Amino acid sequence: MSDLKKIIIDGIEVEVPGAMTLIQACEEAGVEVPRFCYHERLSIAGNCRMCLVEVVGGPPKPAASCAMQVKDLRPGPEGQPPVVKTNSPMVKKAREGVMEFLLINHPLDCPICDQGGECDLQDQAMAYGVDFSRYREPKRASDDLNLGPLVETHMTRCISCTRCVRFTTEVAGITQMGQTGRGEDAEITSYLNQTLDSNMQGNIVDLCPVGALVSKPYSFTARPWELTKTETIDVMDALGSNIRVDTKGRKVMRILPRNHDGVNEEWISDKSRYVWDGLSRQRLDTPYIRENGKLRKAVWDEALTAVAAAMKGKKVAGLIGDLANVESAFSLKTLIEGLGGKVEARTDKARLPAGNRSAYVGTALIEDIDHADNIFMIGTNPRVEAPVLNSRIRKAWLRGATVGLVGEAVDLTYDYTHVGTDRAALEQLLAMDHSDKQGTNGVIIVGQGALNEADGEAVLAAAQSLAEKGGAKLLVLHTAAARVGALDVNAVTEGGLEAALDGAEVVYNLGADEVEIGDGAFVIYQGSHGDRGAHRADIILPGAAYTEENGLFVNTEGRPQLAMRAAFAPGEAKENWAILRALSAELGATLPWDSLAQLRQALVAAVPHLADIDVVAENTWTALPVTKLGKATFRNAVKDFYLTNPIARSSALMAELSAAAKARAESTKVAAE
Amino acid sequence: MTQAQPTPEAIVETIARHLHLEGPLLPILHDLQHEFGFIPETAVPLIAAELNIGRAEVHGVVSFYHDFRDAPAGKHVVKICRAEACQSVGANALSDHALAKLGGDWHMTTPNGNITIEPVYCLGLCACGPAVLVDDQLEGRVDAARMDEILAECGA
Repeated sequence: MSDLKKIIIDGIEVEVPGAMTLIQACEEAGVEVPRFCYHERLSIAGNCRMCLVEVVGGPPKPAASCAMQVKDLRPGPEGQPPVVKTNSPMVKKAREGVMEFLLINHPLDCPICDQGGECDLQDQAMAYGVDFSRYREPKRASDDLNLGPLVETHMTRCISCTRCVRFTTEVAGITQMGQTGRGEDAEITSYLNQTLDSNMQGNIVDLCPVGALVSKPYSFTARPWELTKTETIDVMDALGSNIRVDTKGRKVMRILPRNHDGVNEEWISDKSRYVWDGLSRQRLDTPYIRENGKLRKAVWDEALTAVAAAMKGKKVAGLIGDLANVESAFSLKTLIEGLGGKVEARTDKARLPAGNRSAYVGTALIEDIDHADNIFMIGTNPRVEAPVLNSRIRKAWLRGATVGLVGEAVDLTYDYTHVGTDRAALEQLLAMDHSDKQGTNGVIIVGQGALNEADGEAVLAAAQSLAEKGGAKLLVLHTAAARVGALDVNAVTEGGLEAALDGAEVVYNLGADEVEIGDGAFVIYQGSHGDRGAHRADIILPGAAYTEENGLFVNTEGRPQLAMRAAFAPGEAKENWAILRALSAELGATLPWDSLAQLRQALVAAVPHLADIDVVAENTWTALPVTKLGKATFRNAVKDFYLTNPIARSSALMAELSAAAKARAESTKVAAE
Repeated sequence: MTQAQPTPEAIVETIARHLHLEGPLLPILHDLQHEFGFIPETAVPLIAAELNIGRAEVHGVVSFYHDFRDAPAGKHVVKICRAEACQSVGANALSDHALAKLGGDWHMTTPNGNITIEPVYCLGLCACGPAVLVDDQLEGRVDAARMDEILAECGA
């Protein structure tokens, strides 16, 4: 880069782009600068004053390093690089002064504060503050806000960094939070005392550097130092957000995001964050066998024998649910196909072509949205199908990208050109000339709602041809975490769900709760929760949920990621691949692996790109033949964001959020009339 | 007896056998000791990584239990009781004699790799002190002459 500038920070010379701020340059130099309001993914506020540094030769006062760019510094008299000091007496005094001011109104209630132990203010007061205060007057009083069932507020602790306000307006795209008043009267408030209307609001708990915003469901349940932290992958949507699951014993206490620039930046949706109470409710913790129409508890040997007896010599179909990892999908496929049966992973009837990865995954990376000039969506509502992806599209829109949509007109938190709601609009668009878009960065996002009807393959072909014409990349936005992985191992049947279930005497259901299985078939359900699938089952085998077993998940852009076990499954529940392995021995068709490592070896031998963890394999473009589209309007795949899978449906909190969202929609409808 | 350090692959394989257990650390350590005769120092970071716990935690457990070794033991392990009851009937003199005979200190292994000598605090054989444990065999009322015999039998 041509505008690289040299700068000396605490005697360390670094060369950085001129547009970088001093705080970023300090990070490059490996010098730590304390901060509260600065956050690399939000706009710059410059109001906490904690990041003060001394600019040698500049004005004789400390400068806020987050709000000053490297190019704004004057070089020395002989053209020497500018010098910045973060360890001088001036800086030390400035930091101590700022800290004394910040603590004037901050209650010292750390012992009863949930942020204790992971509080920026605690840490920085220890590192940069002094142990006294000259302030003797009473502290400011303030009322707590009601922001809804997720975020608890203790506004006396607020240091007015405005990170929450900036996050909600910039990233989440909602307008409920703001700051009013000046000086001591400055306070964070919500507009007309509204609660937050966003499915990304939990992130402000992480952003808050103090204990002003804390997680309501987690409140007073644990201290950070007593939790076991496991870095794993989320399965609530197909984005594969990187998360950290904190456990105490067998119990998941909370879920936090991890940073991954290519996937979720450092945000997660509220469903991913707050679903954990669903992990301990409605759990299947022992096998069940249906006798005389009633399910009764059984032991493993008995249940496996019964399953094997039911399956032997019958026409078997296997269904792979939305939360199954690749290992269990591969195991089920190998087992069922070994018995001459059929497996199917596309349980929502999405017409995704097996084998053609450029069509069922696409060619775009999630990161491509960041530098896209135009984004076009077909039959999708990313705000509920993948909220974190939606905030990325919003980021591109804020940067100036144009966004278009064919499908249901929904509030996406940003403006878009609404081309139409039905197939005809897509056809018209296809007939238009898109050669002007060649050479620009385009991304076309196709939702599952556009693909799960009879003409799904034609819609996908149309999207591909649109991508070709406009020189755009294709991203198929999945709604199920298991889907891409299952398609990668080819756990599908020609003809889809109907063909797989057609004439099946026994259905082996691996956690597919969204499927109606007709009367007559004998159903074996293997899953973690007593949800719809278990109600229909004749034999239930209890399996582990996503936090309870190691497994591979491939996200919507085709990135394989490893999920790790954070806790053990309750009761008698076993890991899913191990159940299938045990059953295969019972059936006399033993699967050729005894451990997860051997299973992974077999898996990688069959599908080599799954060995490259966190690498998105390049897909060679194979266009589907363009065929006639149907006539219908597009319908979105996700009807209720909070209740899309068995874990979420078991969560009391998700039910509450779902009800609140419905009530809110109802009241805005009334208000509009 | 110098034994080659086990390879990381072998260690990881041993660890993997126990990962399905809840609370797998002690079974892993027992298995490592059983497999290699000792807990190799290189296993500590590998165990920590596999179990998602700190190295300090692994080290704490390994060093807490005296029977986990950091080097392979000799063919025979001779443990001399040094608890109060045995001390009062001459265990100290007995251990001094044994150590002098082998020419070393506690936890030593003879150069030929036949004997490792260790202190132990009460074998529960207080009525017949001084007590000695030779591999899995208890010996009571051991005197210097019997100790010489034991060491000779073990091949000192």
